[in-house]
Amino acid sequence: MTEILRGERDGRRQEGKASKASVVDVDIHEMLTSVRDLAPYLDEPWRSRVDVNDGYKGPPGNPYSFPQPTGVAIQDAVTDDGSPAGSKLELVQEQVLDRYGIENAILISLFHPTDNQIQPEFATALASAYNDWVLENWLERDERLRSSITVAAQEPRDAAREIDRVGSDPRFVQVILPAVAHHVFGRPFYWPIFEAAQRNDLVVAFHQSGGTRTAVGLPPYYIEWHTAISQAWQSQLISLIAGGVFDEFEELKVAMIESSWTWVPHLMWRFDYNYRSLRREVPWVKRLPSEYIRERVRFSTQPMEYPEDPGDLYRMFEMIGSDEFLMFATDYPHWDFDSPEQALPHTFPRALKEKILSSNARNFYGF
Amino acid sequence: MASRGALTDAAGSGQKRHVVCRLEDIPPGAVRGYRTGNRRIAVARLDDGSFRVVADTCPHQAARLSLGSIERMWVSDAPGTLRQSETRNVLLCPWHGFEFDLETGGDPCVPGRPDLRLKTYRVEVVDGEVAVYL
Repeated sequence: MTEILRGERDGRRQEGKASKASVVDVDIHEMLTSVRDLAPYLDEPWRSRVDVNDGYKGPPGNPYSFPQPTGVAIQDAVTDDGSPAGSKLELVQEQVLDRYGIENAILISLFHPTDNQIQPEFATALASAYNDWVLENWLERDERLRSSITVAAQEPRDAAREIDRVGSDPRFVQVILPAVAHHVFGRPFYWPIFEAAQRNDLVVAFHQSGGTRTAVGLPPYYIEWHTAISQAWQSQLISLIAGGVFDEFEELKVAMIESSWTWVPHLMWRFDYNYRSLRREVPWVKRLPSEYIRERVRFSTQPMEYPEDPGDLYRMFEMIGSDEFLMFATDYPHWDFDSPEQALPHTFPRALKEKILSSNARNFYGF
Repeated sequence: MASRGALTDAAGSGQKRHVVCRLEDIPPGAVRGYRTGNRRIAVARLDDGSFRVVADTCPHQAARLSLGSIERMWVSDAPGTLRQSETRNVLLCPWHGFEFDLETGGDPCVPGRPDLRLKTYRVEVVDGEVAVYL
């Protein structure tokens, strides 16, 4: 059966392969061809810092060389002109949005001025320029897209001003923070960011960046780092709860993007158990940690783990105790991309798949 | 230690009155364990001098709660601030530090879990004797 795919672009309905389910993708990466793309969106003195041949090259990236044939990208996302995978909207439309009938997708920036740690005013200007670049080059060109607000978190009050500046645009649905290892964001120093997110009815999301480390820093091989990095999200989530962020900002919602999710039962059990013994240290935390997680935190599917028995994966899901916590993500254009047609194993009931593929994200983000 | 009191029917309740100790046996801020028949109870004396009595076995790993401690519960008005409650008192398990509210027997961390709640007992002080109804 062929049916009209959901979504319109440029006034024309897109026809093609049958769409089996409504899909919202909460993790697509839009990429700059280079940081010089931001020059038109920067004022002096910052413009000159990037718009010269031997100028600033961007926030520090992932320090590993990628062992895959086409680096961090899936092979068919590689461009023919040498620009980074994910830097061409047309290719994103062809390979993800149109191909899978994705109704809405959230752009997750990998440009994190927070990772600079230095020259804070410059980092703040870069964040602002990046948001304007996303608006003009992505959001204005495809109405299916939503995006994340980039900030320089090392200057929380400036970050809050940036959130207020663009946060009223409904296409910005969240603030993105890097899952770094050198700070935890639950500290009151960072609270202006959460306050601004709540004020603008925005989610705060975490995603890996060039500053993401494992619990032992940078182990020798990329496979070690990639296997262990969920520790960074875990530490940030624990910090948000123990620091009282969810108690202080009672409407705040948090998304853990590309953290994987099968560690969540372990963390909830251990955190709840510790809370019963150690609540006296953090009495401002009013409820069991697992309650904040179930009610206020969502996770993305990708990267999925695939146990030998797919029934085990569904059992892990059930252990979390909520059918709303998981949202589908492709992670396009990266090598660990997941297809919406294949990512969820047959052990997940059809109605649950529908929630994960679409309505969980819609309900959480409100679009 | 074993209860030393004689048994007396409590009017209409089906409970029996057990004198477990004298007032001066438990100083304010302390907790002591007693056995009455086959039951173990923890008798706590709050810092205001009043008594509370709960079951003496932790529902977690069966530690003797009377070997733990009591305190005014640590609470907070805002993240980063701590103060001790003016009204709530808790008994801390000597092993894992689980807290039990001495009014309700419940764990303040998981108030909705009846399986983690201690049984509480009525207590009175008459003529310098501490009596518990079981």
